[in-house]
Amino acid sequence: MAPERIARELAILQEGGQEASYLEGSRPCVLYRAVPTAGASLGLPTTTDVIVPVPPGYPGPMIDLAGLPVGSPFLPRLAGGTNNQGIVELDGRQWQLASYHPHQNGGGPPWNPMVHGFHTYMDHLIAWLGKLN
Amino acid sequence: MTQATHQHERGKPDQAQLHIFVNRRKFDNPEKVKPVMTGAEIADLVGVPAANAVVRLESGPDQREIAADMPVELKNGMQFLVTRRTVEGGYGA
Repeated sequence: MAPERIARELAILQEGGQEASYLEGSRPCVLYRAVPTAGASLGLPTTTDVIVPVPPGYPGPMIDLAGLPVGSPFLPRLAGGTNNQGIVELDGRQWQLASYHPHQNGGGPPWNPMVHGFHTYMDHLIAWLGKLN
Repeated sequence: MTQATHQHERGKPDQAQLHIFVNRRKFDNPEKVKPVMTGAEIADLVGVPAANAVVRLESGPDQREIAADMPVELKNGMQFLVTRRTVEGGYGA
């Protein structure tokens, strides 16, 4: 799972003011706190916490999916948000994983473990939450 | 290896140390981060094509969207968000 690599990637984001941490829970995930959203114009929060599962064998397998707190008002408004990919218990909360696959013909480049990581996945989370239906 | 010396002009950042944050990641390569950059060039730092990019200055008192061809005078530590006009990769149930 390369914990040192994940730590390095999260440190890159932390330098930019992004709080992100690796947590075990019912499934190992990275928890990104207060990710910006486009919610202001819809009367929704301007940030939300997001979880992203750490795939077994990372960084070989691609990072995939994204989860929001169960009942999040964003889920019905996000691409893939209503396609429940499972529930995760983490950080004392329940999270619903959405069908979001940026590295799998999903608008992002093909997964390249030499270039991509949890720090670059932030780009996709910001884009995802920046486009609300 | 000789250490480069940097001549500081009053009010202008040392170009070798100029850094900005895009989507929370620091960019400080002097070959890519210039004192004045357009929205398209900022989006290119995170690999988003200009035609699909929405660039927003997120820090400071003048937070605003930056058009692809709009030049921005950079200051150290500026925070930008780059999102996409079209978001793919989400599959409905």
